[in-house]
Amino acid sequence: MDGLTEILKALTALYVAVGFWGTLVFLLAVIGALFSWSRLEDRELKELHRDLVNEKEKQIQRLAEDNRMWRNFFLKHGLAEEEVHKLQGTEGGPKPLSLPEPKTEAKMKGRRKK
Amino acid sequence: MQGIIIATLSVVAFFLLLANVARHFSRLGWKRELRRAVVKERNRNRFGVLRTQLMSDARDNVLDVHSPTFCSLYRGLTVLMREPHAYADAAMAILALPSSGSGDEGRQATSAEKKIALAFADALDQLCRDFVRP
Repeated sequence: MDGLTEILKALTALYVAVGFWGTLVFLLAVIGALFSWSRLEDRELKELHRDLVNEKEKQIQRLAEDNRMWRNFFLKHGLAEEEVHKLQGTEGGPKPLSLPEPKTEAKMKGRRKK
Repeated sequence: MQGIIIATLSVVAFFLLLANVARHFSRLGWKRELRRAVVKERNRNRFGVLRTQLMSDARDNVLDVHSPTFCSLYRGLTVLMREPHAYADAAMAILALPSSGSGDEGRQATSAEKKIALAFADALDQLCRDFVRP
């Protein structure tokens, strides 16, 4: 309760010193700063979530790569290189088209701008 | 009228401040947990990538699977990749190791072995940096 009284006293002193418009601008600035703080906290949490998802995505891609390596190894026994690539759908290159690229900072920024 | 505006804005600012402070403190634990999870997964991925590289080299006969270097790298990488919950203990154990030789000094390591061993050393270094507090 004492704290509230002190705040009221400070506000009254501010009102006397800078007038109505000055106090209004001050309060709006305080509210704006508090909103920004809240937004910054949200952004930090979102970034942490995104980092975690990215790490998991990298993990999935690595496991898929590992799996493909062994599949390739077993398929090669008795099959020609071209036949293996045809079976795996990797004629154009070693990486299948179905694998998504991990999200990067630059990509996320680009998406936000859109 | 002016008094009402100022009083309303003051109350709004005051409650916003209280809400922000409460939210900040209630989310501290959540943030810390997320940060730890990110660091853990990042380290786990490093070891995983090296293990895949090791097995890829073994498959291509670049590495000899019977060599002590391969065995120790394989065991170390597998344990570290499978037990991410024990990273802090592992980092402490690594730092407590005496700085002695590998016990395989008589044999000349191949370039592929050296490459993976160096990358493994880097990953262990990063693990110690991430999990051991000064």
